[in-house]
Amino acid sequence: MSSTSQKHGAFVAAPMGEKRVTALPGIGKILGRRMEKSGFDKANVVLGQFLVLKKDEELFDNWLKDTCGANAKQQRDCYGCLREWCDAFL
Amino acid sequence: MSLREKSNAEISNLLTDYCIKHGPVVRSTRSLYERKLEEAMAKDRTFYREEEEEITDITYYHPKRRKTSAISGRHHNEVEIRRPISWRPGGKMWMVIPAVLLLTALTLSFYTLLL
Repeated sequence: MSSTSQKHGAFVAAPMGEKRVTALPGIGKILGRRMEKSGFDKANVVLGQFLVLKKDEELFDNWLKDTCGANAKQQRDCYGCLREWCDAFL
Repeated sequence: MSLREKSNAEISNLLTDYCIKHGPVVRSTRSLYERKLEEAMAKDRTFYREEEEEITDITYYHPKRRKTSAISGRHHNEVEIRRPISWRPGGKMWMVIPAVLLLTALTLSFYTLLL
């Protein structure tokens, strides 16, 4: 059983460009809609927030939960993906 | 002054005071940090309230010695102990028991001397 999904693999393989927020692991249609309502319509905007929170896991998880109601697994998936993407491309 | 009225710099300083790890306080992070500060402040108030409710028991212990006259021939050396009015649990009961034992020992020793 792989610990990361196909979505994760696809996201971290390339620069995110203008990918939508739903391209992020952990963010599906419903959470994506809530994020867009809050102004986070693209993955790169979420990346911006991730960086402004100093890539801190707790802060990012708290923020994600407040913004779109993500549960622990969704928070973990999203954080892990952004972390790995930054390690590769930032 | 509520947290909402404070400037970003003031919020940042408060976060540092409460040892909350944080990044820059900007529009997108502000509400998160305000919530964290409210939680930290609420915890602080609970702590101080619990401290105020602590009641310290103070019981005063006044030993009073009264010696009888030597002419009467009865050489009693009585030690009168004024006990605290109410027996509070966790009060200074431990001092009374050795005092009673001491009294008994003194009385016995004087009786032995008389014999």
